[in-house]
Amino acid sequence: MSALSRYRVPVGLLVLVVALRPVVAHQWLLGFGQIATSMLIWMLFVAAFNLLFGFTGLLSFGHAMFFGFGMYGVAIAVARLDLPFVVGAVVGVAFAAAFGNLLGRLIVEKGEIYFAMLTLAVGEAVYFVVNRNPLGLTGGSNGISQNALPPWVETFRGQKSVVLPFAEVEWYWVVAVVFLLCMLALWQLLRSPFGRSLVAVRENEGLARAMGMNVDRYKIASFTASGALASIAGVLLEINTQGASIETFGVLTSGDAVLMAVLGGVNYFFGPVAGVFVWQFTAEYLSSFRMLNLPTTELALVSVDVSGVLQHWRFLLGALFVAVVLLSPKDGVWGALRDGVRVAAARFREVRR
Amino acid sequence: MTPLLDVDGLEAGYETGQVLFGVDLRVDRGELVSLLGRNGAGKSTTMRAIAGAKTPRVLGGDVRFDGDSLLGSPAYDVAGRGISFVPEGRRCFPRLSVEENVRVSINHAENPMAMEAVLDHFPELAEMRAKHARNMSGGEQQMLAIARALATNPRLMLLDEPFEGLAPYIVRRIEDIVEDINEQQDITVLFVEQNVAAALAVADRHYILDEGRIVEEVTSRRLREDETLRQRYLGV
Repeated sequence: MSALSRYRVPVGLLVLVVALRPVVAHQWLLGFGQIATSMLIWMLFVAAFNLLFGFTGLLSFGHAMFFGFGMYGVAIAVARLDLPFVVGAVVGVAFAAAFGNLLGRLIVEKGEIYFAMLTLAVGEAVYFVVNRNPLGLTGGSNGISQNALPPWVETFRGQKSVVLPFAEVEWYWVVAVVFLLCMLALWQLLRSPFGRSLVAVRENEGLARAMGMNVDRYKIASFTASGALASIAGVLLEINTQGASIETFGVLTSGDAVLMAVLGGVNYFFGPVAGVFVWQFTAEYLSSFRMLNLPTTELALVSVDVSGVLQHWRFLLGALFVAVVLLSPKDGVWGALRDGVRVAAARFREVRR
Repeated sequence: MTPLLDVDGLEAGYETGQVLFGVDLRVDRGELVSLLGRNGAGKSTTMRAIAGAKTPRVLGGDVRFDGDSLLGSPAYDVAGRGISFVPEGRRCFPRLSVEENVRVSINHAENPMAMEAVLDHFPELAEMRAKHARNMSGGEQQMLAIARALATNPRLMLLDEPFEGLAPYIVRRIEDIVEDINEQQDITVLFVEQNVAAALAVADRHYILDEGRIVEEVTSRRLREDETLRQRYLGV
């Protein structure tokens, strides 16, 4: 039991990657599993964002740029420069880390709101530069979509797989492995003295300083790690979407990361996971929902065309978001779930006694 | 011999105006000194200025620790030189456990105490190592805040209103702890207090601060006996 609770995060992550695809593909839910891959990628991206927001207390409104750096690193290397994928990935991630570090040095000592505004401004500036298609590298507003896949990725009827010398692996499992490795690294980081110190900074910055902590150095390190991790998600996204698109750099992407993290619960390791799942699942579910058949689809007495309402799924998700924030801004869906389980377990014990 | 802490004509204030107009106080090695005063006299401002907090801004004068000026040093540097500051409001890191709270201190100190040596002074805390600070009572949180400060193995400990808002029996327990730290660990202590009884119970020497200036420096005996003094500056 103690071993299980000690390793509940790795076990939970493993269960997640194994169960995610069959669950969403179930006919009662979405009926197709492709979205699971993009969910994992977004979970990694939002978890990276939440290292900074939830666990260090710094709100970045420009995190899309790191997502984009990874994505464009690969796309530029593969499609434009004819370099191996690995070179693009490494350069993209290294660039994201270096950019995060440099930007962090410049802006972490500013107050919270200024930090958020400055990241927003820098994010927009990066978008602008990418949009101008410097040296013909980024493709401007068209992004990069031609020849943007490395040769070892094969696509067949929309299904991607990775051809290794000894076997062919479904793309989902490659993403799952990278996701697992990165999330485990993040978990280790958060458990370490370094991670506990980040939480101390979040909880009470002045106190952390008074205890001899060089708070700015920790914030810079967190910003660097968060940027690097987000860019790894971007590398995966490049293959997933078969190229790079300018929207990834957009302010909406940054905003979605904030919304998903808050929806899931920023105080929890699994908060971003829950947030991305609820967000993307609801979006997909609502936008593919056309006819409401009552009482059941097989025996429809009443059929209502609800597509007119549900195409505004962002509005409905917005309402859900508002509800979560009003109920408990830091605990989100994951916190509510935990509380629910705890209460239920207590009830159960009581009943048994 | 130079005093351990020498505050000399300290002037400081916030954006809204100056609060300290020349505070002079000295604390020698091994002493246990209190800084008394009414609400708004500038007690916390004095402490924060010594500790190098981001606010207030120091406008003049000097703060010397063991002969070296502390002015201009950020809080983490002041802490690194051996001054441990416990801000008011028994601040802990609410979502960290007792051990983690202390561990954060230990990890950032140059010459920290061992975890067990710290908890030896706080048997109550030793029994709730895994408990999160936010689930603890006010008295326990204050003990944890002091434990965390002790863990850095400081030469000087600054406590801002350590007894505020606590039940009388917990006040007595914290009094014991502060005395114990002062005597056994040989740590010099300067603390701010409004509660004259607690100050009398613990400290040997008292400074009285009024409207941003030190107006009296008194022994416990004089403070106990001179009712007009207490009336005039402390309202008790």
